[in-house]
Amino acid sequence: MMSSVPRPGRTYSLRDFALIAASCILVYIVGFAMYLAGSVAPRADRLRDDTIPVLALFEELSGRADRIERAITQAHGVTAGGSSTALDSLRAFIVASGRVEPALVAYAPPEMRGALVRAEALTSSIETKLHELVANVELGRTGEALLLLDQVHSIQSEVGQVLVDAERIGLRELSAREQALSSAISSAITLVAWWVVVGVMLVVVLLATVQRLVQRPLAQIEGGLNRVSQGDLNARVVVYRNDELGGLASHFNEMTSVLRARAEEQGRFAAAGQLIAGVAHEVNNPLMAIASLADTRLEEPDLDEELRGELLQIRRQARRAGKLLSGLLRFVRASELPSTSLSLNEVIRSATDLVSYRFSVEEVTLVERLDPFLPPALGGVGRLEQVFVNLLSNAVDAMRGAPLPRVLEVETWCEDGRVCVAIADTGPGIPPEMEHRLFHPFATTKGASGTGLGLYISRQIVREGGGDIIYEPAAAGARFVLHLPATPITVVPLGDTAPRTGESDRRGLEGIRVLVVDDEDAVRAPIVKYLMRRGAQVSEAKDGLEGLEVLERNPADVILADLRMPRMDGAAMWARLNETRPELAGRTIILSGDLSQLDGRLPVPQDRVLVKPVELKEIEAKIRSVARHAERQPASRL
Amino acid sequence: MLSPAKQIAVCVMSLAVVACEPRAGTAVIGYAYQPFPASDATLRAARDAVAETAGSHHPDLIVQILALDSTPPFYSAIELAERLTAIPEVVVVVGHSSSRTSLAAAPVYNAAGIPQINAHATSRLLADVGPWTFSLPPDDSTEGAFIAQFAADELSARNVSIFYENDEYGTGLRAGTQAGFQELGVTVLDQVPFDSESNFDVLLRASLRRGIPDVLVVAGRQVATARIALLARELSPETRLIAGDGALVLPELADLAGPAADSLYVVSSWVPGGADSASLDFVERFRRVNGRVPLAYEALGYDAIMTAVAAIRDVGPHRRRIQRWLLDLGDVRPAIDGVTGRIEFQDRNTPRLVMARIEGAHAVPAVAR
Repeated sequence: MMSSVPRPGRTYSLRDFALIAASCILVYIVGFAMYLAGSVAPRADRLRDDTIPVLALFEELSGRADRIERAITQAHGVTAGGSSTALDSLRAFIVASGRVEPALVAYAPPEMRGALVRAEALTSSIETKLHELVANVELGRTGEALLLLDQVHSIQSEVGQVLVDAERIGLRELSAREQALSSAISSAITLVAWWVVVGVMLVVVLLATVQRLVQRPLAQIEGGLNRVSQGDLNARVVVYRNDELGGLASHFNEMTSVLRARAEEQGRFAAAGQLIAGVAHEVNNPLMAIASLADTRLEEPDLDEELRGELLQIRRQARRAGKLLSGLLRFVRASELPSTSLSLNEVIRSATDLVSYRFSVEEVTLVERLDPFLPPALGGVGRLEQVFVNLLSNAVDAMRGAPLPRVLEVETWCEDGRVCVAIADTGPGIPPEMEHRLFHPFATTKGASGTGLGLYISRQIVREGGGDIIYEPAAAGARFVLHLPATPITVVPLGDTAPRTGESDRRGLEGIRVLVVDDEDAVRAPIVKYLMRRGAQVSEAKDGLEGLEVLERNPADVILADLRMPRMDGAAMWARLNETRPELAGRTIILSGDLSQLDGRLPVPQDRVLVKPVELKEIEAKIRSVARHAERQPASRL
Repeated sequence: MLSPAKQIAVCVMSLAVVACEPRAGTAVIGYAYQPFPASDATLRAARDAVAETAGSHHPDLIVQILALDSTPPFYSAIELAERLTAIPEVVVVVGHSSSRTSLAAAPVYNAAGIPQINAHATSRLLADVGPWTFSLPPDDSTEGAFIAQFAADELSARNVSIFYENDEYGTGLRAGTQAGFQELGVTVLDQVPFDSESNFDVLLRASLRRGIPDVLVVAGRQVATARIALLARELSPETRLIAGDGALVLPELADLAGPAADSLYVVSSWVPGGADSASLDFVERFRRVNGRVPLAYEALGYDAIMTAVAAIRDVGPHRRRIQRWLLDLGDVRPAIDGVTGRIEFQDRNTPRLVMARIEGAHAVPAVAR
C-alpha cells in the first residue's frame, strides 16, 4: 500500500488562481477603459454639447444684430429722403430676417435665458418699428418716422447691453464648464497615474504570487527529481499547498516511497539470493558426500539387494537435491550468466522443477506439450529461467482456491522462425480492467503480497532477447505466450560446462598418482576410497598448505583440490603451484560448489573446474583426461 | 441558495408578472397652459370626462391632470418643463399653449423621454424638435396652404397682402401662406410685421398704397385681427379678411371686431354642430360643465388631454409605453375618433380644417373641408 502524505488544508488551486488573476487583469483593463470612456469622455462631450448651442445662439443673435444694424443704417437713409427702391429694399430686408430658434434657448444656461429672450423680443420690436418707420416715410409722416428711429436706437442700445450681459454670463458659464473639464482632466490624469501604480503593484503581486505558487514548488520538485536521478530514493519535496503542484509534489513523494520500498525489497531479495547461494554452496558438500558414499558402497560386489536399492535411492535423492540446488543457484545469479544458444524446453523443465514442489500442495496438474524438435533460441539461461519461474508461479497463484481440476499447461512450438512458449492456467483469468496494465510496473493482482514487477521484468528480459510476451485471454483462465527468435547456433547443455561421461573408463586409474585436497572428511574419504579402488595411488591433505607439503613427500600426477578450504584454498594453492611448479598447476582440478565460478573469476582454466555435486565417475574421467594430457607434454612426470 | 439559472428564471417570471399587469399605479398628465377662460373650461371638461369614465377601466390606475401656468416669458416654459420632468408620476404632457413656448419646452421633454402632445401650436418646427413631440393641429404650411386655396378658390383672390404678428406663430403662418399663394400663382403685394405696439392705421394705409389686395390675410391673434379688420373695413371695404386659427377666440374676437366680424373668415380646426358622436358628447359635456358651447381651441385641448388619458388607460403609467402607443397611433394601432377628427400622428395625416365665419358670438362653417 502506498504511503499517504498528509496534505495542507484546502486552498485555491492554480486554476482558481489563474482565473482570479485573469479576472483582476480584465477588471483592471476594462475598468481603466470604462473610466476613461465614462468619466472623461462624457464630460468633454457634455461641455461640447453645451457649448455648441450657446455658440450657435450667440452667432445667430450676432448675425441678427448685424442685420438690424444694417437695416437701421438703411432706415437713416430712407428717413433722410430715400427713394422708393430704398424703401422697398429696407422692407424686404426686414421681412427676410429670421428668428432665433426658441429650442436653442433650452440649451442655454438658465441665467442666460432671460437675457436671450429679452434680446430676441427687443430685436423683433426693432423689426416691426423699422417697418412702421418705412410706412410712415411712405405716408410722408417723417416726424413719426424720426420718433420711431429714436426708439429703434434706444432699443438697439438696450439690445446691445442685453447681449453684452448675456455674453458675459455665457462666457462665465463656458469658463466654468471649461474649468470643470480641466478639473476632470486633472482628476483623470491623477487617477490614471494611480491606476498605473496599481497596475505595477498588481504585476509585482502577480509575479510574487507566481514565484510563490509555481516557481518555488517547481524548484522543489526539480530538485527532488535530480536527487532521485542520482540514486537518492530518500528524496522528498515539501508540499506547500493543496493545489495542482502540491498534488504533483505529493505524488512525487509517494512515488519515491514506492521506489524506496521496492528497492529495499529488491535488496532483500538480493541478500536472500546471496544467502541462498551461500547455503546452497554449503549444502552441496554434504550432498556430494552422501552421493559419493552411496557410490562407494554400491561398488561393493556383495551388497545386499535391499541395501543396494536403498543406496541407489539415497544416491538418487542426493543428486536430485544437488540438481535443485544448482537450479536455485543459477536462478539467483541469473543476471551474471552470459547469453547462449539454449533449448527452451530444458529451461522450462528446469523452471518447472523449481516450482514443482507447489504442484502437489496446490493440487495443480502439469500438462506439458513440448516440441521435441524445438529449435534453439539465444538468451540468458538464468534470466529466461527466471521468466518461466515467474510465469509458472503466477499461474499456480492464480489457481489457488479455484475449482478443480487445476491444470497448468505448458506448450512449446516453432512458428515463423520464432520459438514460442505458452503457459496457461485454469484460474479466474485477468480482470478486464487490469489487462492493459499487466506489464506495467507495480501492477499486481496479489495485493500487498505482490511486487507488481514480475511481468514487467519478464517482458523486459524477453524483449532484450528480441522476443516478447503477450497475454491472451482464454475461455477459462489466462494464457501467456512468449516468443524468441530461433537460432541455428549449437545448444550448450544446461547446467555445468564440464563434459559429461557416460560410463566409466574400464581402464581405471592404474599408475596415476592423485593428491586429493579437501577440508571435509565426508567428501574427501569417499573420493579417496573410490580412486584407490580404481587403481590410483592417492595421497590426501586437508588444506592447500598441507597439500603442498604432501607434494614434497609424495609427488602427484593430478591434483584434485576443493576450492574453499581454510588456511589456503584451492585457488591460492593453484596460484602457488603456478609460480613454483607450473607443470603441476596445469594438472590441478578444482572442485567448486558454486556455479558462478564458471564465469571466469577463478584463475584456473574453466576446463579444470568441476562443480559439486559431481559423480565419482566424472571425477575419475577428469583425472584420467588430465593425466593423459600431461603424458603428452614433455617433462610431464614429476 | 438558488442556482444562477433558477435566479434568472425567478427574475424573468417576476418581470413577466409585472409586465402582465402594467396598468396599475398613478399617472399624471402635465397640462402646461395659459390660464385664461378657454383653458380653464377645457380642463374642467377633461376632468369631468376622466372622472366619469374611471370606473370602466383598471381600478388600480389613477389618472390625474396637473395644470401648471405656462404664461410667457417663454423661457419660463423651460423651467416649467424641467419641473414637470422631475416629477416621476408625470408620464405625458399636454401643451404648451403657443408655438414659442412649445418649441422652447420640447427639447426638455424629449431629453427626459416624456411624450408631449401639442394641442394648439402650429409651428412646423415642432415636427423636427424631437421624436416624442406629437402635434394635433396642422402646422403652418398646412394651414397656409388651406388659406391660400380658400382665398384663390372661394374668394377668387389674385393678389393678397399678409399682416403677421412678429413671433413664431405669425412668422410661421406667414411663411406657409406665402408658399401657398406662390404655388397658386397669387401675387403677394405686401408682408407687414406687427406687434402689440404697432400703429395699425399707418401700417395699413402704407400697405394699401402699394396695392389694394383682394384678400388680406392676418396671421395674428384676436386683438390685432379685430383692429385690422375694423381698419380694413374702413380703408378698403372690398378687401376680404382671412385670419388664422390663433384669432378664433370668442366672444372676444366678435366683440372687438364689431361690425367687421361679419366679413371676417377665420380658420378653425373644429366648429360645433357636428353630427359625429364625439362632437355631440363633447358639446353636451362641455355645456353641462361650463354652461356654454365650446370653442375650437377648447376642442383641441380636450382632444389632446383625452388622447393622453386613452394612452395611459391602455398601456399604463409608463413613459416609454405611451411613447410607443402614440407613435403607433394610426399605424399598427387604429386612429381614435376625437372631437376634432381622427387622431393619429402619421405623415400621411390629413387634418381637418374648417373655414368659419362669425355669427353672433359663434363660429359657423363657411366652407367645410
